[in-house]
Order: sequence, then structure tokens, then C-alpha cells
Amino acid sequence: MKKYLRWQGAVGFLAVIALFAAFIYLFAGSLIKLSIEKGGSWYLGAEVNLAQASVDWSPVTLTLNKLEVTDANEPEFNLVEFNNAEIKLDVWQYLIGKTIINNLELTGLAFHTKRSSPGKVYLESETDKPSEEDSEDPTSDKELSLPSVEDILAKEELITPEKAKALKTTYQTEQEKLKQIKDTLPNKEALAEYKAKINEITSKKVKTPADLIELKEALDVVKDKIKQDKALVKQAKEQLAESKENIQTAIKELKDAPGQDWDKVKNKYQLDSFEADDIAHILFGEAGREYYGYAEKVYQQLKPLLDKDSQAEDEAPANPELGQFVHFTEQDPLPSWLVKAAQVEILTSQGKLLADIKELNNQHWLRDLPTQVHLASTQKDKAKVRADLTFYKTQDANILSQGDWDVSNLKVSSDKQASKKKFSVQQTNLASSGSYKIEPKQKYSHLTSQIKLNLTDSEFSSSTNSGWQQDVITQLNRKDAIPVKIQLSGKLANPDWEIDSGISQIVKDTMKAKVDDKLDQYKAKLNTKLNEQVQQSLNLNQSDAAELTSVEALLEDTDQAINDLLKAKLKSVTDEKKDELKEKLKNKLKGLF
Amino acid sequence: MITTLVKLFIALNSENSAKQIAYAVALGSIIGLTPLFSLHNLVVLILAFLIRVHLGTFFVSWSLFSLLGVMLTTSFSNLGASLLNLASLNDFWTSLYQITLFKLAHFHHTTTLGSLIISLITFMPITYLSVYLINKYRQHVMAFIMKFKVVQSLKASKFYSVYQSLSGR
Repeated sequence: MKKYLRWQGAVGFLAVIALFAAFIYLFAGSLIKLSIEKGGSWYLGAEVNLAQASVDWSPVTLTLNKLEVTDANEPEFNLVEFNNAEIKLDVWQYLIGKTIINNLELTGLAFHTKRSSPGKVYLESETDKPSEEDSEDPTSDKELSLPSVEDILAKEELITPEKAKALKTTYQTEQEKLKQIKDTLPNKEALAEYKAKINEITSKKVKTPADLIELKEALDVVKDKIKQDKALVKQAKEQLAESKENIQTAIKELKDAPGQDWDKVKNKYQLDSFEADDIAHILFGEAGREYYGYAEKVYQQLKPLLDKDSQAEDEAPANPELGQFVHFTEQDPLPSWLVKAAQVEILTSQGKLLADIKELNNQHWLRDLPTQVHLASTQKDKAKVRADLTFYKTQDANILSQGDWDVSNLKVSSDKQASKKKFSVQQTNLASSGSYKIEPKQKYSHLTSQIKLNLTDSEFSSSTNSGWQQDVITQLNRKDAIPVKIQLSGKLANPDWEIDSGISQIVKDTMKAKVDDKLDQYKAKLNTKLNEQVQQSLNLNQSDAAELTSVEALLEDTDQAINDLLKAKLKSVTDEKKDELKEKLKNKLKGLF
Repeated sequence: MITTLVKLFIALNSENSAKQIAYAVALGSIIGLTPLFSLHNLVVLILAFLIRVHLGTFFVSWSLFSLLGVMLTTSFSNLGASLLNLASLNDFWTSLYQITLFKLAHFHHTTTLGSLIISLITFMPITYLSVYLINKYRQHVMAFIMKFKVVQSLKASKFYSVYQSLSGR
């Protein structure tokens, strides 16, 4: 046995272990500081500074002093910082691969604070991207955007001149058609000739049946000619009716054209798209979106942590270089990481807030307990805040969350950036209450939220000198209280915003009077010019209309004359001659018997 | 560093058996290839100190295999992940997971499991290969090298004086 073992080696082993233990005991703080600074910088893409890290070994408590995380988009600001963190760690669980924090106390947590010197950024900044603010402003000044009436008439493809031209063409076309038919109609001479011919036939003496047949044949010839002429008159009447309809349609289109032109101009120059809600959106929607965007940014930073381990048993490790723990079913399962209880002091411009958090983790299904957050303000002279929310992530990565809040005496004042905007709230006293709910719907997380705001002692400002905008600001500043209702609904990442505020009516009243008056004047001016064109076109065609009327009268006269000829003479003449011949025949027969 | 290499050189040329050196290399390979702060490495360290293996060689092997381990971490992690996530082994891992020692040894960590399996599989091949190479060295290379003039001149250098002082000759 002695051949294979050296018992004095145990001393060496113990010496090595003692060396390791001493190294860890002495340098644990420095190693943790280095890990947080290097690991944090690598993960967030910006400089992370930690003033000091120390470890108390009984019970194992990690203390971090003054942590600052640079905002990669604004290196002169911190994304987040805190003064002190005291973390009571479950060492046994840590040794078996789980980070279980029994209690966390965080003081002086603050967001977006100014750094003493700009932090280093290791990722490409997003600040170079053009902001939405620069790209589009729905309140672009209408007064400046109105084109002159003359320019509209000269440059725009308007319907009125086109329809005036169409009316003229219609008149010409229809006149040509009527002229062709008119040439084929029987004139007065022809009608007189028919009359003379009929008189001549009827005055003839009928002595024999042969005379009667001859008379009938002569009459049939005249009758056929008259009937042909009657058919022509009928055709001419139909053409006249069609022409009249075409012309009436063209006139109607011409008369409607100025209205259509106004609609076209109005749409093109967006003269009616300006809604009062736009301003409410600018004032509350943009500010709201800014806060929502900030929350979204924080969420995106935390998302990998939240997503991690949701399906760890089925997937390959996210970072193969570091490896990862794969956990299996156990009797009393614990999440990969868990903060059982935390007290977080948050510093805001509205005073200190205290967040009491329980069960913070991302695998709620394992203990079937949701994360609970209770937020309350601690300074009486500052804003009064109360918020409660719960958060539960299911095994299939769905998020269930709901919460409500009450806020009062929240004093909001704008920064320099806001004052450059077309509309901004310089200062206001804000009260708010609301609730939200996030639940899975189809393939995404669905958010519904109702937010009530009440603004008192507000002061609004505008960076423009435009008349109506200043009027709106004056009216808004006169109001003692402005209630606002905001409703969010839709996908959590990009919900729809509905803003209903008392501000809308104020803006509508002020702006309608100002803008509508301007637009009405403009509309009247443009319509006058267009109607002049219409009238001119209609006047020009009055002589044509008179000609049409004369054609109509002529047709009526001719038709009447032909009808008279047919009814009065032709119908009875053969019968009369027949009767006359019959009488003669009877007389002759009387003489024989 | 020179001292450590000299120790290895001494070991190769000493009366130590080839097996003592070979096992030192193999044990060093386990601690070098697997994550340092693992429970099984405590066992490896105890063995290295208690069993009569050449400690100098053990530390040199540990250093050299650590470099190799860094390069192969991704492969070890992938191997461990594929084994731990294998559906057919799920019951096996789940039953082991109920044992605290299993979790304490971090066998449910992808890199630890992957690297430990590889280092255990290669343990005996490394041992036999080392024995073979040491014997070959002693039989042929050492005798051959000693004939060179450069070796003769080295005997007069600082390196040789350190060698002599450490070997006790």
C-alpha cells in the first residue's frame, strides 16, 4: 500500500485547498466586481461601473455599492443606477446551480440619471436613426399649405373645364345627328303636295268599280309615302329625346363638377384631415408613447432573462461557450433564479417610491405563485402613488398580468426638448387612475388598459406663432381641469391608442372657427371661379338650346300635319266612293225591276 | 516556467516509473479539461496528492490540458446538452437529479458533463499513450539527444545547473 500511496500528500492537498479558500475569501469581492462590470458591459453593450462589492460569509450576503449602467443610446446618462444592494443568497442552492435570493434590499434605484462622465459604448447607438418626431407632424401649418386659387385653376387637373368641354362636344354631336334627320323630313312643300294630290284623287268621279280600284291604288301610294314620312318623324323624335337626355346629363355633370373639384382639392391638400384629436395625441399620445417606449426598452433588455429556461429541457443551450444547467422534474422544484422577497427604493423626480416585490422569477408554474409588486410613495409632500400588479409566466411562455394604480398630485413639467415641440405641456398637476390586463390571445400577448388622467393648473405652450395654434393654447391655459381618457388595446408590443379628452372639444371649437373660416373663404373663391366657367359654358350653349327647341317644334308640327292628313282624308275617302258607287248601282237596279 | 519544465524533464530522465508519470498526465487531463470549480476535481486533486504520481507532471499536464479545454468548451457543452436533452435518457437523468450529490457535482451542467465524459473516456488511452511515449523517449530520443554537441554545451549553461540542483546530483 505504501508503494502506491503517500500520506504526506494529504498535507499538500489541504494546503492547496486552503490556498483556494484563502484566495476566494480575500478576493471574492474583487472577482464579483470584475464579473459584474465585464459581464454587464458584454451583455448590455455599454460601460458598467461598480464602486465596490463585498461578501459577508455568515449568512452569505453580497453587498454591492453604487452600480451605474451606461445607456448605450445616451452615453452621458445611466440606463439605471443604484446606491446599495444587499443580496442574501441561498448558497446551497447556488452550489447546485440555482440562484435563489432569499431577500434583496435595493436603495437609491434611479433611471436615466446624468453620469459624471460619458460611459463607453460597445454597441452601435440608435440615436443616429431619424426620429418619428422629425419625419411627420400632423399639425403642419394649414395657412402656409393652402395653394392660390389661380394656381389650382392653372395646374390642377380639374373636372369643371373638362365637363364644360364635354357639354360643348355633346351639343355639337347631337346637333349633327338631328341635322341629318331633319334633312330627310318632309318640308311644307311636300306636305302641301300631299294635300293637293289627295284633293285631286278625291275629286275624281267614280263611275265603275274599275275607277274605284284605280282610286284606291292612287290613294295607297300617297298613304305609303305619308307613312314613310311619319316613320321618319318618329325616328327624329326618338333621336331628339336621346339628344335631350345626353345634353341634360352633360349639363348636370357640368353643374356637379365644381363640387367634385372642391373635394379633390380638399383631399389633395388635406384641408379636412386635421382633427382636433391630433393635438391630444401630440400632447398625451407622444408623451405616453415615450414612456411606453421606455418601458418597452427595459422589457427588451430583460426579455432574454424572462425567456430563458421556459423550454430549457427541450432546447440546446443559448450560449454553448458558457454551457448551462439543465433542470429536471423534482419534488419541490425551484426556478433557475428566484428573488423570494425584495424591497426596492426608487428615486424619481416625483419623490421616493418603495416597491415591495415577492416571488420575482420567470418560471412561475414551478411554485404556482405569481410575482407580486406593491408600489407606494413614501414622501407626503410629493406625489401620492399606489400601484399593485401581478405577473405570471406559464410553462408555454404565455404571460398573464394585471394591475391597477392611483396617482395624485403628480407635478409634471416639460424639459427643454419638449418645449421645442409644436405643442407641449409646460407644467401640470396630474392625477391618474387605471388598470391593465395582459393575457394570451391567439399567438400574442394581448393588452387592455383603461387610463384616466385629470390635468389641473396646466400650462401649455407652442413653439409656433401661428394664429389658431396660439388661440388653442390660450383656450387650454384658461381651463381649470382637463380630463383625459386613454384606452390601450391590442398587441402588447404595439397596442392601439384611443385618446378621449376634454381637450378635443376646446381645440375643435377654437380651430374649427379659425380654420373652417379660412377654408370657407378659400372654398367660396375657388367655387366662384369654377362656377364662372360653368355659367360661361352654359351661356355659350343657349343658342344651341334654342335651335334644339325649334327642331322639336318643327317635328311636332310635321307630325301633327301628317296625322291630320292620314285621319281626315285617307281613312274615309275610299269608303265614301264605295258608298257612292253602291248608291248608283242600287238606282240602276231599281230601274230594271 | 523554466522550473516547471525542468521538473518534467527531470521526471522523464529520472528513476520514476513511466506509469507514475503517465497517470499524472491523465489525472491532469481531467482537471484541465473540465471546469475547475467542480466537485469531481476535488476528488482528482486528492488522488493526485495521495497516489504516488509525479506531481510536477500533474501540474504541467493540468496547465496544458486547460488550454485545450478552453478550445473545446463549445464541443463539450454541445455534447452535454445533447445527452441531457436526449428523450430516451430523460428518466435516467430525472432519477439522478433527485440525488443532491448529482446536482452538487454539476453533472446537470452541459459543459461539466460533456467534458467529464470525454476526459474519462480518454483517461486510459492517455495513460497508455504516455507510458509508450515515455519508454520510447528513454530508449531512443534521450540517448540520441545526448550525443549532440548542443547538449554538451547545455551542460555548461544555467539550465543544466538548475537541473543538477533539482535532481540532487
